[in-house]
Amino acid sequence: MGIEYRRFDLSKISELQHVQRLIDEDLSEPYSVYVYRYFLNQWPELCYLAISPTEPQPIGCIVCKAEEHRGARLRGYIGMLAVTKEYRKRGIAKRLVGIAIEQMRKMGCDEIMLEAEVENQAALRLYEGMGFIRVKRMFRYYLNQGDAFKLILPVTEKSCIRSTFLLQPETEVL
Amino acid sequence: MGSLESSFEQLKLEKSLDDGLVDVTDQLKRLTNQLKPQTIVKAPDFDLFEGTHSLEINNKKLDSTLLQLPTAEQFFDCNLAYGDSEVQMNEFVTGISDRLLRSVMTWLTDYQSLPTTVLCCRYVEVLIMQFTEDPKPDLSSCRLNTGNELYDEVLVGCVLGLASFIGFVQSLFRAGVIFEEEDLNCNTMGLNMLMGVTTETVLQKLERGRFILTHKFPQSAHLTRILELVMHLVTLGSMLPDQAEISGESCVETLQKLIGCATELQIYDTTSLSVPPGCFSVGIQKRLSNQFPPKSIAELRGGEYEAYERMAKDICEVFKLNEAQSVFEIYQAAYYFNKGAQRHVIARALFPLHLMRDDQTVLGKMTFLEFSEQHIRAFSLHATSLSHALQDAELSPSLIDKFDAFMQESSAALFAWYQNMSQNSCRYRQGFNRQLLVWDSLQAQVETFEMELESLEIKDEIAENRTLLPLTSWTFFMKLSAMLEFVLNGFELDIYKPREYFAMYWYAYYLTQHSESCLDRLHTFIRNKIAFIQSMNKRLKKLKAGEKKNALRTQYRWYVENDLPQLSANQKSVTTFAMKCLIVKNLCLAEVFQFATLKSYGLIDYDEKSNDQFSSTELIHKLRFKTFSSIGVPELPSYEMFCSSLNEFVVDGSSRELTKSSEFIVEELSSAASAIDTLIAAITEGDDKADALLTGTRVVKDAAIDHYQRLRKSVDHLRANSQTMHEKFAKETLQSASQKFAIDVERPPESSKLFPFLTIRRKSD
Repeated sequence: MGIEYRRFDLSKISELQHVQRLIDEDLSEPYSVYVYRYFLNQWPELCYLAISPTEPQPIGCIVCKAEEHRGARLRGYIGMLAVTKEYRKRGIAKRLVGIAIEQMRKMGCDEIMLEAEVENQAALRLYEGMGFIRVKRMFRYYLNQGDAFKLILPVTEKSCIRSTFLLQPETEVL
Repeated sequence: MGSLESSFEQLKLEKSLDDGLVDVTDQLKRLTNQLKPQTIVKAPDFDLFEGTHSLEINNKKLDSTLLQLPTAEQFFDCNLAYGDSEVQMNEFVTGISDRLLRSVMTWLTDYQSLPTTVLCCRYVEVLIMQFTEDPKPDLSSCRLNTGNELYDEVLVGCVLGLASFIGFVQSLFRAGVIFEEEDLNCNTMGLNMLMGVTTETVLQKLERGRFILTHKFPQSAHLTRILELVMHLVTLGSMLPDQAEISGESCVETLQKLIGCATELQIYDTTSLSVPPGCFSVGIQKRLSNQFPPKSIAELRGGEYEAYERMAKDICEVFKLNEAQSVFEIYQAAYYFNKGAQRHVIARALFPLHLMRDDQTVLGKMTFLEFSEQHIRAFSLHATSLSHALQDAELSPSLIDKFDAFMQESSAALFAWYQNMSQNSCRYRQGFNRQLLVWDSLQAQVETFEMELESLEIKDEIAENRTLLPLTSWTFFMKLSAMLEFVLNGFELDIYKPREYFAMYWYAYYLTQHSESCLDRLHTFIRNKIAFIQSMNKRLKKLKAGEKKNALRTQYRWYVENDLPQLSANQKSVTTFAMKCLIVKNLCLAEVFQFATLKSYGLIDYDEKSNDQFSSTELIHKLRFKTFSSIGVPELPSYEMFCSSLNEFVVDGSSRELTKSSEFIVEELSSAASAIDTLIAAITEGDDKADALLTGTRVVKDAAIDHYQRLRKSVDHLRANSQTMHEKFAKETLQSASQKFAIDVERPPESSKLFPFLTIRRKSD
């Protein structure tokens, strides 16, 4: 039987615990409950879980948000993505990202952004394979001293215009 | 928030505790029970940044009060003289001081935090807490009472000296040049790093320690040397950045002593040193105000005294700015300062502060405005009609206002340019991203101003219907240089995927063409101007003695004295810029041709369709060039233009075309090699001896030579790569190559980071 993907259910406290467990196991950054609550309570529709019929608990999750960026465009953001070790290399992360991107597109996002560790080749391969490009590098971004890349997937033309010029339509473009 | 406020209003004070506080536990429980799971109560300014920086009580990963301390750490007593004998006490104090001194470098060089390095020493925590609670300027509140002078005097001196140095670093950090948690973590956990204490007071403490060692502990050469290094750090801290304005020499002298001391300390075997158990502990994270997740003590990796040397040498490079004799030399010094290996964070923080002072001067020698004007004079303004009109006060007040406004804005843009030069490599690229808008807007404004000047016949014709526009030319050249830095630095930072190499190098090539054209116009102007002055001399010789000859002689002398020296210098510096531009152009073209060859054999393509599920290759291309989308001149070529240009370079698989392409690459690389060799020779010889070039690299000779030697290595690697590709593809058809070969990115360590290149390898490898 295949993996089932479903939306996060905010009304169940156990769902939050599933997400916390999956992310805490995997990411170098320790997140407080406030970070989880920040995402999940404000954008529950942008969090998805991957469920295996043979496991009692979810085996993967993606946590995102969508907000106006500099008053110029709607930016989707992938905050967290994790799949338990035993279920990796089966395309689950790719599917979760795909579902989340689709949802963010439906919400009208002009672009989707995320950060990834420079050393995290698996993550970079995944996102770049889906059209994300590295737009900048951030020096010593993580607590483990590692640099990060900021990656963006452009969805609309707005993503390709500087915010300054989106904010001031009357500005003469030189 | 509204409902929260109304809930607060409903709170009733049912019982008051003895201390005047009100117990609201019941109300809180009642209200929280009414909350639905999806309810979130947060301050409006609680954003993701706040979230990721928040801590959580009872979460082991985030609550440092949960840290468990071993017994030795729990019961460590700073008022006990650890060690069974005087010899062991000496060994312990040496061990503690050595570890502290090395921890400072771990903090600064390995980007660690203070609580996991220097502050994790119990003696530091106790002594600096004493000062924080009772900040006596004479440091009398900072005491250990072990009854042993090694601890009570020597170690105390060492700790206070290092705290004073940390205080200095804090003050540098507050100047806002470097970034918290990125370049430096300056979290002192609320401890006061001897603010308000004079250097003399700290040095007296250290001097007292040294005196005791010299007179009572003759076998403590190691500890004495450690103390001396701390003294140099304290002295250095007191000089920078303000005192350095008065005399860079005394700073360099202190730095030389520091280097000598650090070199001597490298001979000691630090692995044999021990410290009292529990002396270094994570406990400070548990006891004091800690806004960060718990973290282990940073490991000392060795090489810390070498790091002191590197730090001191890098700071010396900052003071070399004092030796610059012209604005062009300052410009080149800034350009090459951080070009190779990233300079030490203290040197990077100090660089802009030393160069651009609080008193609005550059190196204490000239105002920002004077500096900016000299900048433009040293490039394109000198000896122009505008320059003469300014000197002769021929401009109307409104035109002078416009010129002054331009100078103000260009001064601000230059300030940002200089401030950017010592940033870490990631910030450096972002700095240019921001600057582009400023330069672009400045160019548009100044061009309008110069057109107005031209309408008043204040212009410099360089050919029929072609004028110089000196201010616009300078602004345009600065903008193009910033654009090129932004594009090429992306290679250093590994921003681009292999499939993007073509577009980025082709665009860089396109920019160099515009730079060349700008420099060419300037060259023509300078050449014409010099020829004009020289022709006056010939005319003089032909004229008979008389009033006319005298007038011409006066005019000629004025030109020779006022215009000719700077014109000659400008001619040489513009030649240097042109040569540098040619090198980049040649290398970019070689990269473009190599990419096209790889595309020809089906190994790579810019226009990949695999990304079309959520976006499109065209949209991705537009995002990549977003930085330049608003730039008017030079216009950003269309996506179609990029694709069609690539197709023009593609070969058809015939031996003739493959050879032709290889020959072209070799030709470009030979041209680059020749220009690089010429520049290296000119830099090595020095500007006094070079005839045709002015490199302006006198004070950054080593860094500039290193830069060009790396480019030279890149030339060699690209040449060898081209030959390998030619040999391998010659045996293949267009179809077979893609089945046999795959692409890798090569970044030879000794070559330029701006020119990585694509190589081929057999798939089976």
